[in-house]
Amino acid sequence: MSLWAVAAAAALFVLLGLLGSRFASALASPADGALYRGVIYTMAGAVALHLVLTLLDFAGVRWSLPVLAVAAVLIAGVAGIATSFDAPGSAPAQDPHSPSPSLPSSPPPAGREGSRKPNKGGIVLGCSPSSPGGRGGGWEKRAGVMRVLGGGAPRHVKFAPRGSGGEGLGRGELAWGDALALFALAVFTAFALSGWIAMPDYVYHWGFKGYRFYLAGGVDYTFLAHGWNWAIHPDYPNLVPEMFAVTALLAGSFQMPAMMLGTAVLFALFVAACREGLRQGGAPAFVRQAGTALVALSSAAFGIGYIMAGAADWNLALALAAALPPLLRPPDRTGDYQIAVIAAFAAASKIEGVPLAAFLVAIQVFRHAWSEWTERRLSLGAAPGAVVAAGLLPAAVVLPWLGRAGHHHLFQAFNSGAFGVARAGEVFAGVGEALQLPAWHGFLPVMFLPPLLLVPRRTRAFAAAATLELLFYFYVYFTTPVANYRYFVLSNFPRLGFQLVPACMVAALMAWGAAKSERPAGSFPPAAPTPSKEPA
Amino acid sequence: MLKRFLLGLLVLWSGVSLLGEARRALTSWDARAEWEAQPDAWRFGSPPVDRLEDCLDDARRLVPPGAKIVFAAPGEPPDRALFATRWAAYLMPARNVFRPGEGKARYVLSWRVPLAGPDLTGVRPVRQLPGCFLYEAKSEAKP
Repeated sequence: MSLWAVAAAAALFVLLGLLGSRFASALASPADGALYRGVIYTMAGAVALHLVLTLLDFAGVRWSLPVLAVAAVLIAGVAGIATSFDAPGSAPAQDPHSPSPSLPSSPPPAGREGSRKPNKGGIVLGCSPSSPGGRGGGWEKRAGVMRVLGGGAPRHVKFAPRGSGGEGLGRGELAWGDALALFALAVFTAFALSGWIAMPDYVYHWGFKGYRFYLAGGVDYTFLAHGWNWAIHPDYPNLVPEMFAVTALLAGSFQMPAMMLGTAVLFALFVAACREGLRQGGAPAFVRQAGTALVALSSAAFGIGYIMAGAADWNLALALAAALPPLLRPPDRTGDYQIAVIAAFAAASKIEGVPLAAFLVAIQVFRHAWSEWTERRLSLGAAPGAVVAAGLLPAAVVLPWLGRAGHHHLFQAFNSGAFGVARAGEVFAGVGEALQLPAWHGFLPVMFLPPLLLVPRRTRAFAAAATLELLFYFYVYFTTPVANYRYFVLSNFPRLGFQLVPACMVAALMAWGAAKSERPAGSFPPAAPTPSKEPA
Repeated sequence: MLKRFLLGLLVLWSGVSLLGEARRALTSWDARAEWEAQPDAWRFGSPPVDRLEDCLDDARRLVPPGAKIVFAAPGEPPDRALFATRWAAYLMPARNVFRPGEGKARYVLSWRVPLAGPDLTGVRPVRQLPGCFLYEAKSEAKP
C-alpha cells in the first residue's frame, strides 16, 4: 500500500472542502455546526470539480493537475465575486438551540481576532465564540482560520455567517457516541484499506472507469460507447470514477487503497451529517449520542459484512443525510443553496441520484410556496427564486450528462421497459429475502419508515424525499426487463437500502426521541408535499 | 427512561453486529490464502486474483496498450466468465478486454486452460503464461 497515494486521497477531500468553503457565505447557515459546514463545503467542492471536468471534456482538454489548479483558482475568484452580492431573501436561519440573534452584534472576544480579522482569502470553518454555556468551547477555540487558494475575495465575504455559538463540532465536546462512531470509522477504514471488503462493483465498473478516465485524461466516451461495455453501466453519471481518476492524478498512479480511503471519508462525512441532523432536529443529548453511534456502528457493520468499500452508494447515503438539516429548518435561501449542492452531488454520483435530486429540489420549492401561502402573504414570489437557487446547479449537472450520454448512445435498452405488475410476486419475494440479509442485522426495514415519518411535521419534508426515492426503487423493479427478478432485487436491494437507512434512522430518532419543547416556537419546518405526484 | 433503555439496546446491538462482522472479516482475511472462490466472489488479495495478476503481468509485456483482447474462460458458465472478464479488464485498464462474441480482437487470452476445438480457428498460440494462454488472431477476426 502506497502511503503517498492514500495521503493524496485524503488531500483531495481537504482541497475539495477548501474549494467549497469559498462559497461559505451562501452555503453556511448560522444553525449549522462546523462539521456539517465541512460536509457541505466538501460536497460543493466535489460538484465544482465535476463541473470543471465536464467542461474540460466538452473543450477536449486533457485532465491534468496544472489545468485543475488553474480551474480551482478561477472558481475561488468567481466565488468571491458571486458571494460579494447578498442574495435577496437570504435571511439566515436561526440556530434552533439559541434564543439569541443569529448574527453576533458584539465584537469578538479578545484572543480570537484571528478568526474575525479580515485576511487575504481566508475563510472560517467554525471559528466562533464558544457556546453560551461554555460547553464545546474547547473544540471551537481550537478551530482555526483556513487560508485558501490565494484569496482575492472582497473583504466582507471572508467569513462564514456565524451564529451564536452553536457551531464548533455541533455544540458539545466529543462524547461517548462520537467516540463509538470514530471507533466504527476506524474499523471500517482498516478493512477498506486492505481491499478485502472492496465491493465487486468497484472492480466491475466504478474503479475500472476511474482507472480508464485517469489513463485517458478525461471521460472516455468513445470507449464507453463500445458494445462490449454494456456491463459497466456506460450511461451512469461519472462523479465517482472522476473522483478516483483525480485521486490517481494527485497520487501519480492509480492505487486501490487510495480509492478505498475515499469511501472512508464519505463514511465520516455522512456520520457527521447525521450527527448534525440530530442536533438541528432538537434531539436530547443522549439521543444525539446514541443516534450518532447507532448510525456509525450499523453502517460500518453493513459496510464490512456486505463488502461495500468503493461503492457509489455512500454518495447517496451522504446526500440523504446531508439533506436533513436544510429540510428540518424553515426554508430559506441558504437552505436552497445547500439543497442545490446536495442534489447536484446526488445527480452526479449515481443514476438513482438524478430522481433524488429532482425530489429534493421540488420539495424545497414546495416548502417555499407553502410557507408563503400559509403566512397569507398571498404571493408565491419566493418559489421561483427557490427554483433558481435550488435547481440551477443540479440542472447544470444533469443536462450535460443527458446530452453526452444521449449523443454517444450510452443509455442501455435493458434499463427500462413496460410496467409489469405480474412480477410483483418475484419482486416482493426478493425484498423479503433481502430484509433478512445477515449483514444488515435487522436494520434494513428502517428504509420503509419514510411513509410513517410523513406524519410528524418536523420530519415531513425529509420523509417526502425519502418516500419518493423509495417509490422510485420499486418503479425500477417493475419496469426493468430482466430474466430473474428475485435475483435482480437481491443483487441490489440491500445496498439501495443503505442509501436510505442512516438518514431514516436519524429522522426516526428525531420523531421518536426528540422533546418538542427543545425546538423554538415557530421554527418547525412547514409541511412538505405528500408523494402524490412525481416531480419533474 | 424506557426510550433511553431501548435506544441503548439498539446501540449495543449495532456494536455487537460490528464486532461480529469485523471478526468474520478478519478471520477470512487471515485465511485468504484458502479463498478459492468463484469469480463472482473474488477479492483483492485472494489466490485467484493473484494468479490472474501473474498471468496479466506477463501478458502486458506482449500485448501493447490500446490493443483489444478477448478474455476466454473455457468451461466456465457465462455469468462466471463475465465476472472473470471484468477482473481482467480492471487489472489491464490500458487494454480493451471483453468476452468472446462481444467484438473483434487481435489477441485472445485463455484463462487456466488452453483453447481447444473450434475456438482455435483463426488464432495461433503466442505463449503460455502463468495460469493462462495467449493467442494472436491470424487476422483481427472474431475468435
